[in-house]
Amino acid sequence: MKNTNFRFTWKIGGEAGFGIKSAGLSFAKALMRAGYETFDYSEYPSLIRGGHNTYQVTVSEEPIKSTDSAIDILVALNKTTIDKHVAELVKGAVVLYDGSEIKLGKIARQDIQFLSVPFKEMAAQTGGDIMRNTVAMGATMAVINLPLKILAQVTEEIFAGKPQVIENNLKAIELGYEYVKKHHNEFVFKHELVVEKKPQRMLIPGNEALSMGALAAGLNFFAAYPMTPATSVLTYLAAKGVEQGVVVKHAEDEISVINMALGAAHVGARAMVATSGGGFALMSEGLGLAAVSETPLVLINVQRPGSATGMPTWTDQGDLRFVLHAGQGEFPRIILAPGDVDECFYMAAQAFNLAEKYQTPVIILSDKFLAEGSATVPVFDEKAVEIDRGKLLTEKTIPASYRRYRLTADGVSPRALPGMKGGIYHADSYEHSEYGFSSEDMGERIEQVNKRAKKLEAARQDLDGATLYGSSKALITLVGWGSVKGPIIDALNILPEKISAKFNFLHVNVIWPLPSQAIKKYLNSKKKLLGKSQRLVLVENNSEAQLAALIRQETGVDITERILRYDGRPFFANELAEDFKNLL
Amino acid sequence: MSIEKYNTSCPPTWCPGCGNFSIWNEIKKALDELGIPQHKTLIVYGIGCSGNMYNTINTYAWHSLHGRSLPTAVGAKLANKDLTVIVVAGDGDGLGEGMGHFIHALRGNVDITYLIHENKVYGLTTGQTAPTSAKGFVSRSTPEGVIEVPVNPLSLAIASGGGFVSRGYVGKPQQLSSLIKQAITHKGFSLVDILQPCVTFNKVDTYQYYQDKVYDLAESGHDVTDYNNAFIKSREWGEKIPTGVFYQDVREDYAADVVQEKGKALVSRPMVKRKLKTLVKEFI
Repeated sequence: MKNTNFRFTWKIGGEAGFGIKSAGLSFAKALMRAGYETFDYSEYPSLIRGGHNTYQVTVSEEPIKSTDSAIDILVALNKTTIDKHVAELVKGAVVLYDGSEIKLGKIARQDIQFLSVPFKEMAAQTGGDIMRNTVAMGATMAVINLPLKILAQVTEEIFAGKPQVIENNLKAIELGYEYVKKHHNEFVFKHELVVEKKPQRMLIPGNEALSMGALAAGLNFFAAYPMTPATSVLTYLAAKGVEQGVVVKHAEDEISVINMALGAAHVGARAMVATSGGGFALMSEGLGLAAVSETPLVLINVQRPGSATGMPTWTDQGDLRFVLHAGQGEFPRIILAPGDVDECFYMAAQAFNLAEKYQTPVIILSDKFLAEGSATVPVFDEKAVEIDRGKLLTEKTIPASYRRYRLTADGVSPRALPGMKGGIYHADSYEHSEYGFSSEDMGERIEQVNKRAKKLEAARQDLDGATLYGSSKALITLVGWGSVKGPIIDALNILPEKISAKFNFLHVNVIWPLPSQAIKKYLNSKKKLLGKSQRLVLVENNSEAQLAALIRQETGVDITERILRYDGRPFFANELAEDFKNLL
Repeated sequence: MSIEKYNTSCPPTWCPGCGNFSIWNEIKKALDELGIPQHKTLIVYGIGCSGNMYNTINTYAWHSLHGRSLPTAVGAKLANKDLTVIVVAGDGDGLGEGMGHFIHALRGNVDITYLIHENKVYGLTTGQTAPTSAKGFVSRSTPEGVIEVPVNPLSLAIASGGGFVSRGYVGKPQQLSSLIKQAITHKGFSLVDILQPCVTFNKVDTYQYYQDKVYDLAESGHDVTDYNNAFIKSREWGEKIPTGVFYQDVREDYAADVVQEKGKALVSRPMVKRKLKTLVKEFI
């Protein structure tokens, strides 16, 4: 039987501009094609040339949703890579480097192997220094002993239509591959990899999955201002705009972005915006306008560490409380927090239906780890996507003396669109009457506040948002939201079963309305189990344990044990596995 | 001519003698004379005394945030090009809080009409200085007089790519109505900056002050296609104050360069699930 914990991590490092990311992506794709599951993670500073960049790919036989800080194969395109990452290498790890460029000197690790490959010399034969990453890719394939043709095929696809570039790249990977086969043939990688035919899968990062979910759901207006790590939503959708019929507007600032999107949504578009925390701060007033004017809008916040400019290219979950409370006054909002790439796709599609059904803003909380980490996932199922436009009227169904903000049982009022005959109404940022005229009347104020609040209660009944993974009889329940799902599930998979069986995991992916009933049920059900009380442990990518505070506020359940990380890095599965062991 | 149909159940709430009454009437008249159906008209209002016109005109309406009316109008027009989209904003609203959007809307040249109520004072917050107030203007926020020089919306508009740049005055209602009509008809972003005395909080820029100074550029033989002269005219302010169209060009509007805007209005196309087949290809 195969070892189900077969999991290794490959990492490439070098200066920004060395093609680190493209090398990483083709490695991951080659491994996916060979039948493996992969998850990518990259680290880079907020600059374009010269900084230290890394890209790593964790490979497994079983589906994975996270990466490790323990590296099995390190490709060092410069000395910095070795200096910075030698401590991450596991016992028996291998380092590929160019001995003609890098003098190893004194490295206090006798338990790892260094294989020199003349990257620079071979690159010179195929197009110059920029080909070093490509040579290294070929060498990697030899080290893990997979057929080169898998990588060759990926290379041909990437550079399709550029025969000269393909020729150079194919030659480069072949030189690297052959060199290792010839000069390091004594090396045997610890895992035996075999090519296996598997159902078609995708290798896709969270931002693209969110964008594709939005497209599937009928997105036709998108506005944004570039902000790391949300920018790739803008660039992806901009590239698809013409083909898919989406108007994409790069506006002058995020205030303009949200107001443009509201204008488009008001007249009937399925509109979306995407930003990170700083941009979301600028959108706060517009968020309240969406709610009071009852305009459907989807907002993506891809979190990065704050406050202010913070750490643009790193990850964090510090915006939970912020997006929950952003905007003056009290108003309904729905907050979704997908836990992995799959959930990014399906929840983005769902967000548009929720926005139209409840005529209120829907916020999707992602983060850099999820946004930029490519994962192998089954091909998204468009059949699972439905378009539900809620109580949207047509010219024929508009009632006489139409009231846009009519009081209804569920708080949702039938909605006409500008341009429809017989539906003229006023959409107001002031408090208003049922007709939409500005009002300061006490009774109307209370009625409209209550009407809007009702929608959230209806949405609560409509949403799940708390899922228990693992045995309901486990002694320790881990609690987390959004992107910590991947590292937690992977960490439990890494652990031997007799340890992992002591744990289960409650994942929350609807932040608001918080699924309080389900959370209470899961976090109290085992109180008397074997006479011991259930232990609750929060795992969160921030310093204030914001979800724990919210759960306590909404359910009274106090989660006092916490594993928090707020250094800009995501949770690594191997480290979490140790943390979990230490809980016992 | 019947502009009664544009009235709502809500009466205006401005001070007696306020210039807004004239603007209110001339907007309704212009819409009526152009024969634009009420349900095909979306007016986006800013926040301020100008924006309080919101309740009083019977077309589709959006009452935006202070300063944010322009982006909303841009988004609405891009999503439904069949609508006539007009923005009613104040000079504090549009040239203070919303100044950035003004410059970028001019650059973009989306086919909307921007009516600025220029009364050179904040009325709804009871008398503070506006970005258009003259240097030295004494107000409740500048008791020693304004230190800054005023912004010039017309010069800014001409410099920023404005394709229809004009100024009206509420004391000349016929000309104002004509300017609003020309602005709506102009294909692209059109500006009518409207001089409008605030009878309660501005004792400087009054009807008396403007009455003898304003003159019609059209009557002085001004060539609206002469960019440089339009700029010079936009800077004329003192004993003579020009009104009318300063500059007009035939630059194509924003939508003309957007493939997605060709054919039916975006929101008039059927909303169907998109096929993923071509989208997933690059990730397989």
